[in-house]
Amino acid sequence: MGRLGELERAVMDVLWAHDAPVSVRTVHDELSGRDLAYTTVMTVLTRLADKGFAARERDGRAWLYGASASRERYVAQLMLDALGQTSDRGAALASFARAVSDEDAEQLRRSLS
Amino acid sequence: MIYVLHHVAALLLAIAAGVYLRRAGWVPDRPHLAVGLWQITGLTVVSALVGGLIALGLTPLRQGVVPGLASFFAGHLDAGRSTLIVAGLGLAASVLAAQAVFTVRVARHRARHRDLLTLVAHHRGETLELEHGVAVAYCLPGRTPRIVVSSGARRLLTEAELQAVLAHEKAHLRGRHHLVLGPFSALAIAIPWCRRTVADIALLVEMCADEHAARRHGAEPIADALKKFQRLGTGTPPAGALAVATGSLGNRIARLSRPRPAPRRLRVTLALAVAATVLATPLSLYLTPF
Repeated sequence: MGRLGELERAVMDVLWAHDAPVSVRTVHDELSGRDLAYTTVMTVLTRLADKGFAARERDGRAWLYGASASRERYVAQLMLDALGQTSDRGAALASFARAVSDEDAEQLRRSLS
Repeated sequence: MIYVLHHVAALLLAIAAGVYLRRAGWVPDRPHLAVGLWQITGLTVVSALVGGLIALGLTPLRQGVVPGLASFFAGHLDAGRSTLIVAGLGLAASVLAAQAVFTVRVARHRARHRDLLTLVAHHRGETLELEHGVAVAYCLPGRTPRIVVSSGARRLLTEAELQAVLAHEKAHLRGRHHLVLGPFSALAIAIPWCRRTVADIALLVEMCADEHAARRHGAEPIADALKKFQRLGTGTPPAGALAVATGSLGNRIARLSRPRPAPRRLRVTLALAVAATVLATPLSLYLTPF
């Protein structure tokens, strides 16, 4: 998953680690081990917001960013997708075998609501 | 008129081939051949329907489709004939449009899935692992294809079974099976009554991938993996598509437990050649000058 993907993932991990939205500065500080430019962090956050994975809100003159949904929720979405339980009938994915019990499917759906 | 009859004959042959392919007992044992024949059958139906309508409209001109259409656009035909030609062209356009819409929608869906995987899945060997107890293994085709295995599936399968499942997924990716299935899936969305047939073809594609895994790792690990998945899927499936898939697991397991049929290259080549000839008839009529 290219460098950009890896960065997006690291930034999301920071957002998930905080309960409340955080500033670009906070994300930048927490990723200090990676030696990233402040603007790089800002670009990645903007990309994540454009894709709908991060939510942006204004705090005075700065933007604060938070994760739009929990990691578990995204995993559940992927699982439902892979199990052919989403509305898409186009079979975007080819599962090895689609056999999921009622309870499992129900539980996955509950984790989305 | 003779052109129209040719198209009608090709159409009838293709429909007969479709009916036959849904019933023939050899089909699960030769999934690759069957998928190839389905592709030719599908193309023949579309080209014969479009060609037949247009040829019927062009009858008074006594010309093939391409040269005839030039005369049609020059306005040399009456309203009744023109309607037939417009219907033929409209059918061709809607088939192409359905394919385009489907392709774009699936590409978007896959892009979002890929983005989400980047954020939450871990690299593990040659696969991505999703931390979830429900067992699932699948592939995501594209420029950088992915094979995804849930931690539940990893716990469920032995190492040998996992390798067989990975061989199955790699066969999907290497064989570009998503490109094989795409046109059929688009058809199933546009014309709901062919959904069962398309589900059958999807099952054949799974069998093709099973076959690759069986050839590489033996039939046992892939069959055992399928059995484990089958045992998990108890209860009534909530979605209609799932019912087909659950029932189809039995078919996949059953065919793996039979002895591998000997390859018969000559017969396979012959069958495909005959089918391709039938397809070539309506296609060549498009170009015939007279």
